[in-house]
Amino acid sequence: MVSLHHYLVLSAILLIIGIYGVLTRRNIIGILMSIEIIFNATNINLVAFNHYCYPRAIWGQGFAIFVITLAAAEAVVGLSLVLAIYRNLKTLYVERINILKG
Amino acid sequence: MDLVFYLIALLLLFSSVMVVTQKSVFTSALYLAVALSMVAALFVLLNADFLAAVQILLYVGGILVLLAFAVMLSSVEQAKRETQVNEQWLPSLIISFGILLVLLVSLKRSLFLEAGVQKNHFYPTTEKIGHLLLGELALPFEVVSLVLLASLVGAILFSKKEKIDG
Repeated sequence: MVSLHHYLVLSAILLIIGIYGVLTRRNIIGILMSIEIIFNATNINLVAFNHYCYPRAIWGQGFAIFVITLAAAEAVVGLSLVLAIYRNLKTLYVERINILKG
Repeated sequence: MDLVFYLIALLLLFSSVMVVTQKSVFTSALYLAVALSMVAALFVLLNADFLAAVQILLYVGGILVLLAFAVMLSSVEQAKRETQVNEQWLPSLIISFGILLVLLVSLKRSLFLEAGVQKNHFYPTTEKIGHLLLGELALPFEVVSLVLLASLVGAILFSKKEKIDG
C-alpha cells in the first residue's frame, strides 16, 4: 500500500533534482524549467497531505491551485524578461549576463 | 495500485533528470512535458481530479508552450554545440544530496497522522473547490487575480521595444 511517506520521498527527490538544475544549468530557460519542477514537487506534497491526513477537506488542493496560478504568472514574467535579455545581450547563458557587476 | 504508483514515479524521476541534464533545451522542454503529465497522473492517484485537469491545461497546455516559444525565439543552434552545465556541477551535486539527506532524515523522524483513507471512495472535487475559492478563499482569489493582471502588464512592458536613451 502506497503511504504518505512514498509521496513525500518522491517529492523530496523531485525537489533536489530541481535545485540541482537551478544550480547547474547555464541556459536561463533551463533554470526556469527547473523552477517549474520545484513547483510541481510542492504541489505533490500539498495534495498528498490533503489526501492522506485530511481526506474530507479540500484545502490542500485549493492551495495547490494558487501555486499553479502563481507559477503561470512567474513563467510569463520570467520568459518575457528572458526574451528582453536575449534581445539586448544576444545570449542566454547566465555567466555572460553580468553587466550589473560593473 | 502500487505498481502504477512506482511506474509513474520512475517515469517522473527519469524525465525530470533528463530535463536538468539534457544538452538541447528543446529536448528538455519535451521531457518536461512528460514530467508534468506524470504529476497529473499522480494527482489522479490522489483523487484530485480537478487538479489533474488544471495541471494538464495550465502546465502542459500553457506554460510548456510558452517555454517552447522562448526556446525557439532564442538561439537553438548555439545551445546544441556548447556544454549546458557550468563548472560548479560537483558542489551542486553535493549540496543537493545533502539537502536530500536532511529531508529524508527528518521524514524518517516525522510522525504524520495518517487518517484512514477509504478505498474506492471517490467523490468529485470540482464543486467543493469552486465553493472554497469563492467562499472562504475569496480574498486570496482576488489577490491572485490582481497578481495575474500585474504579470500581464509586466509581460507587455518587458517585451515592448525599448527606447535607446542617451
